Amino acid sequence: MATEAQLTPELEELEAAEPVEIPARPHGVRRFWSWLWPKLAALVLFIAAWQVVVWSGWRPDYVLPGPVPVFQRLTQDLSQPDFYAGVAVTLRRALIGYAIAILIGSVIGVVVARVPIVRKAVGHAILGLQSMPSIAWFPLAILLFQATEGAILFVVILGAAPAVATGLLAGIDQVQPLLVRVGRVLGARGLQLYRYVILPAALPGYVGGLKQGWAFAWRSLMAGEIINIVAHQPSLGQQLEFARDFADAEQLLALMIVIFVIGVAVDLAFGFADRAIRRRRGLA
Amino acid sequence: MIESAVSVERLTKTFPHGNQRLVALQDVSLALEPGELVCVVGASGSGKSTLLNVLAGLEAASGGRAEVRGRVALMFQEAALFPWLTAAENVEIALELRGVKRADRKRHAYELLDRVHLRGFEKRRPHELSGGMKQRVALARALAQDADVLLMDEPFASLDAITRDLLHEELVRIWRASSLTILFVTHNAREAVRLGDRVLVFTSRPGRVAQEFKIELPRPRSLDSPELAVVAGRITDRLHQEMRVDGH
Repeated sequence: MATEAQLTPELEELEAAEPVEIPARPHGVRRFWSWLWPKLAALVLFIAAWQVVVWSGWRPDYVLPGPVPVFQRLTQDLSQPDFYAGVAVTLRRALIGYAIAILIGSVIGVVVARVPIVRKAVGHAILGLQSMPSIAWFPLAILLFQATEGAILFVVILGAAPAVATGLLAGIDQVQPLLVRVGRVLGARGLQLYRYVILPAALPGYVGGLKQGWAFAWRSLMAGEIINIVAHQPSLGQQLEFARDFADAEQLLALMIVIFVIGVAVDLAFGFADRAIRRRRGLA
Repeated sequence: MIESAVSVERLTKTFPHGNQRLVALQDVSLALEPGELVCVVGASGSGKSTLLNVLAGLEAASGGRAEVRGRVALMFQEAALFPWLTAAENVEIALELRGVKRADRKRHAYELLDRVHLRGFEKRRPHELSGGMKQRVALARALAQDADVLLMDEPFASLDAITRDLLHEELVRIWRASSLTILFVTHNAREAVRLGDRVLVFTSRPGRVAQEFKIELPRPRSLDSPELAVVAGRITDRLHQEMRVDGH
């Protein structure tokens, strides 16, 4: 039947010429710069405003120091081993708590999505848990775990897991039914359907949940470290609380910058992952 | 006597609709011989898709019997490719679910894409392909199932006329080079005559086979040939008759 195909070479060309042109992306350095400069501009404006407030004399220097002494202090901190020990303790807690939250949230998300009666029973409760301020869990956590790391992890997990579950649930709910039918026609059954179709299709929603879960985990962790000081564990939150106790405003602001930068860095990583996933699927 | 590749006997399918039942298919009987290409034509809502869904095992019959001998593949109006996979990976997933060994999958997928004239597009993602190309990938994916029977639910309905004509050619070429049995559903009488050995006209609500046309036109057929238009005209008349009875 080769002749049939050869009868219409010009049509074949038409069809072949049809694919969507992918616009050439701008050069790497220029793209990076156009991404970076508005952020730098905002940062400069913020520091300028901060300096102006300090110059206005609204609060004395030892309560609200200006950017120059704070950044000097930050540079000093960055050469101290104690500082890195604190960052390490905090990041370890964040990672352990977040990892457990992902595990629990993912299992809950799939179970709620798959079992209608469970959805009816706890679907709304999970959403409600998300709006529960994590700090409200601390009194209970301290009763249950005393002044240990367990109390902090407990609150981090409770803060992050509902967001992860909600994101995964939303992702699964948004999977096109047609894709599931295709999966079944191709022979996927039960768990295979989840592995090959539903979970990959739900990935954008899931990443959204992971991102929000991280934000909740990070907030809960800071609240936990400030409220619940664990002995011999010089965490970032604890150092922040000590800085206030010793009225060391420069150290306090330097630590806040560190906490902010870590949060932003993780958020950026999620943003890149999210965009990469969407671009691959033609959604961005 | 040859055993039928598809046999449907007095098939009935009803759906709950409010507090009554909507009859989508009533006493549908048909049979396809191995290697046959049969088209089903009917207005929308005539239960054609339901018939394919029952045959593919996606829905259960309410009464009667619907059987497919061997493996069955189903193509939809939308290509319904997995957007997170490349064209080749979309084909490979069908191979994987069929149990083809990892080492053979890629080569096999590339061969199949070559068969639907998509060489060089293996690594494209669905959003980078045109509508016609997506349906070609869907066809390659269906072929990857190594099915004995291919069910097609208006697969080219959303394509432009030129692309559709090309895909008709490809489908006939692939069908003739294989032992595939094809049941092709459409609402377009000319498309049905262009492709089918036989054309079954479906009534609407409830769906039944109203008449069978045997298409004796020689292949290759052209959509623009006067002979084809005459046959298609007779089928269209029969469809209109059905729709008037139905009160459209």
